Amino acid sequence: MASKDTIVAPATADGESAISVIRVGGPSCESLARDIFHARSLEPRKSQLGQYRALNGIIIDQVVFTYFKRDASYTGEPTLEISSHGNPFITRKILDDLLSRGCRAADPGEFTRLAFLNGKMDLTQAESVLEVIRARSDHALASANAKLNGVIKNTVKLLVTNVLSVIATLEAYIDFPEDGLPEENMEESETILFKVIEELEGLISHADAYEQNSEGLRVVILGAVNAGKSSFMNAFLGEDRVLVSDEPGTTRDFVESRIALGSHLINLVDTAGIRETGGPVEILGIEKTRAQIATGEFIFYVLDSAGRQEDGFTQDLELANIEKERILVIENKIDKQNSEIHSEVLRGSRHFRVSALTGEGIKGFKNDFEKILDSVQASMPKGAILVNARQAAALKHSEESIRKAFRGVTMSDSPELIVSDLRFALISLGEITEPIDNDLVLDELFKNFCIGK
Amino acid sequence: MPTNSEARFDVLVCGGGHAGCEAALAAARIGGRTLILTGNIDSIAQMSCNPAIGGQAKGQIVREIDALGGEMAVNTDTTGIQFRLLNASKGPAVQAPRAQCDKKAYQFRMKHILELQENLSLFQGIVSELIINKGRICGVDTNLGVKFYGESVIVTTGTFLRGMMHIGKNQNEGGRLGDFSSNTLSNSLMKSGIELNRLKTGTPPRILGSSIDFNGLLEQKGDDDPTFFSFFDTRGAEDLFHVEQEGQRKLGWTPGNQQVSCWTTYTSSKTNQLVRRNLKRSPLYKGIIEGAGPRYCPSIEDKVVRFAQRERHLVFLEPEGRNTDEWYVNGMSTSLPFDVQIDMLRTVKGLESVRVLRPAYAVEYDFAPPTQLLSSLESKKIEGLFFAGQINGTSGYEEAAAQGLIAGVNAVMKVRGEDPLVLGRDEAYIGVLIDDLVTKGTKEPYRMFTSRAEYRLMLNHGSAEIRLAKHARRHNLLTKKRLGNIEGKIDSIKKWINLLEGKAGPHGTYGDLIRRGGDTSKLPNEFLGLTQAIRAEVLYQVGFRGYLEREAKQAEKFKSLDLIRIPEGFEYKGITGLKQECIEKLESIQPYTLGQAGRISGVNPTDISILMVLLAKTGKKRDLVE
Repeated sequence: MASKDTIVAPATADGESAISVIRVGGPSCESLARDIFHARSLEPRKSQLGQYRALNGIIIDQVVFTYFKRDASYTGEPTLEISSHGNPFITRKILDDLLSRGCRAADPGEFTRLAFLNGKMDLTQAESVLEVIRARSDHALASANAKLNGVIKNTVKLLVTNVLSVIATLEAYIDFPEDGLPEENMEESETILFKVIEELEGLISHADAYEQNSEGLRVVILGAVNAGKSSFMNAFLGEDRVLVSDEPGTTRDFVESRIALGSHLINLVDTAGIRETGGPVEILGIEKTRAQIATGEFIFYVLDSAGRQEDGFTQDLELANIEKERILVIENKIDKQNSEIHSEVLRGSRHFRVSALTGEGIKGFKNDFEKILDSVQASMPKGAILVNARQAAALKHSEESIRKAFRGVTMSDSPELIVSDLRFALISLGEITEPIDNDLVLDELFKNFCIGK
Repeated sequence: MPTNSEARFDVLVCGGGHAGCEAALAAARIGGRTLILTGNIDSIAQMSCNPAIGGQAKGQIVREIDALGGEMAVNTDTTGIQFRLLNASKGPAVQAPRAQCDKKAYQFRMKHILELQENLSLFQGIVSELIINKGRICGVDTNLGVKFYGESVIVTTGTFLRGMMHIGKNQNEGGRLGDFSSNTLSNSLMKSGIELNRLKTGTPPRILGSSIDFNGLLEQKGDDDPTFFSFFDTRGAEDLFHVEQEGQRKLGWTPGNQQVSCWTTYTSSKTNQLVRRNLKRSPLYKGIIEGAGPRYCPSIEDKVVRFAQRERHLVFLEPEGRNTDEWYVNGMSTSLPFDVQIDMLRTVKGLESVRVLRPAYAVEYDFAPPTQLLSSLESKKIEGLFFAGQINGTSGYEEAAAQGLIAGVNAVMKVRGEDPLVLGRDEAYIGVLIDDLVTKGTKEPYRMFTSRAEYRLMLNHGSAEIRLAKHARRHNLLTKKRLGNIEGKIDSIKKWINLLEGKAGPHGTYGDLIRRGGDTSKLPNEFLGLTQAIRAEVLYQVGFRGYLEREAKQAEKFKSLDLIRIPEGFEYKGITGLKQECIEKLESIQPYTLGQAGRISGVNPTDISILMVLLAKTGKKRDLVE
């Protein structure tokens, strides 16, 4: 029963949990493990700590992975289990990466089925295997996203109808060359395909927006040297710290950390500050900091509760051209002395009081910040969250094929080649809705064309 | 071999139409002792409708028939009077040969081929009843009271089962104008538990050529360089024109020479008015005819009603032979009364003073829904009983002949206890045809279209021999010499594909040159010196490589499911996780493989997963018992 495909699926339920397990099964597990984790030794059945490095070289998460040899795994096929931090964005990113490495999204219950077929399960368990398969596939329909799933399914169904109508037209001229059909006019088909491509692009861009979102929101930490930026950052990160990236590149001059806050992923960037004076190197650093500030969705401005730093704050604002809505003022060191900086300059900015040293106020701040992020997400377009990894892959495949068909139409390629691309697109779209019955093409054809000489 | 009631045969074929002829020849050619029974020996291989073979998808089927040792291709080539390659401006995958035939010459030659065939007996008699013993076929009874016994029986009765012809209010029993209808066989089939249903089809009037005014009509000539159906390159003339080689039987002309023309004309707005005014007199629109007719071959009534905005419809005038002046009016099929038919024809340009030889008519007939069959075309209900042709709900000579050939081979395989010949959907249109029939059934007379084949690009007409060689070898369908030639051809094609893809020059490989649409005269001289058939196939496979590989990959994906057999009598009831609707469908179709189960509409991938597990479970149980 050995399969040729390497399949992948999340083994734990959607949503938040402490860890999330992704299961990969099939012949290329071993090479995947070596490529992703740069693992020199790959000892079977041994949990190893590693950094999940995506195809583009970026580290997604620090994970625990375990490689199982053929016959020694749950399914009886080579298997790779990856336990990442329990955050849907991370899960999604890892899934996406595995798909782009040539894995195929597993069918509902496919792992369980393989396990049974490879004799890894007792005969008496067969009935329960069937229940698992059915439950998994029903779950896919009845998940929390059912409504959103319905939206995308209906959208895709409409696209399918459009593609079918173009296929039917082309097929009419292929299969009935002698039936006195009106002069072939591809303009309408061209228009329809153009619209379909636009629609798909829209859906895919939602998927991409999701993807961007899954990179995490950028939060930049600013403040004077002695305000306790670093200690605040460490307190904020606490146990939730996901990964400290020491990747060389654009972030060389900054310490960037990733943290999961509820269902949000944020990138925390510690800066060198803006006003540090010095030689040309520092000036370069200041320019870079400004660039960081420009890309940050939020700014944590750390002030020393004891130090008189309001003037610097005002200057920074002017220098960096920061809108007040983006700023969250963190008044640190409240354990030392409570000087209550309530200067006029802080008016209009959100203001939090914490002590990085004792931890006072940190938890409250995190809760508040999570709520702010929730409200930001709620205001994002609905489409942005409804395309899942499997659907996104299918949409991209179909868009590619329809684009090719569209080019074929404009270049007057032979129609059977155009249809070949369009039918391939339908196979991909059918993965989102349901397999598309070929009889629909004939129904459409006979409805629209007077066939029969 | 004497034909008498004492004679026992391996295979009995009931019906001498296109399905029956191929069935009888196929069975006899692989060594089965075969008897073909027909109601009228003079109407063997009659073209009851238009005098043409081939066309889109059908042309490909005929070439496949030739690749499997059938007769239709050679018979068409030797009796064809006009040859055309359809879709010549489009890609090779959708090009198809078509030929007008000399209707009588076609019949006479086929009859003669049957007469000369070793192992084959011919007898005129109408089959009235099946003889069945304990669920197994034993033979048939005829209207003469003479019984025949055979281990396999193939029913190829076309439209003759309770055939009812309609011309206006006029109704005549019969499967074809001037012929009989068989009622007792319908009863016998139903008594044996075979379900029957009604379909309808129609045929246009035949007219006298001398009454046509050809002035102003458009002439449609045959191709100067005709495309034949039979593969010339892999066999000698002695294999090709075996009848024609002997003394007096020589053809009066060389195939493809002295072609005749067809002509096109149009109906007019007056035709539309006439049809509309007389619609109430059409049995189709009065609900007298209940059977469903084909959507691709509508009556003129249907065209006028369903496409009311069309002012005129195309009409083809096709000659029925060299030695007759009878013409076929393609596009004017109708069931309107005869007086309306004449008036209607006279509204068509060129037919103003037409003289009609035979009226148009609609015919209703019984068919046995083909979902009652296994992929071998054997009945699921009665062992040894096979069905082929129009009785399975198809239409078209080519579709019928293809089924006949497969049923003929499998009837012998049944007798010998060997595996049946089942073609894949990625191997042949014949595979698509039979898989569609036994898996989905049909609601209208089923005709093949290239769009029914999901692997259409792989099924170009020129590759039929290559695609089917392994089946021809396994079932011994071709002469050793021809099979050797085909295998040599396959090797040569493979070799040249590798050579052209391999040698990289300054501008890439020759393959790249071909795919860019470059000048193919720059290809190696040795290649250009190959036969046209080999060159064309190599250029096709190289030029469309990406598309072909994509189709092959898709086909491969489904192949693994087609290898998983579902045992006979598999119990679907009570399976955890299957929906009731799905269980009902599976029970009625009884798929042969898991792949076939997956092609039943309403059976989804999850259901297949569940079945896969259960099949493994029962498989393991059996292992344990053993």
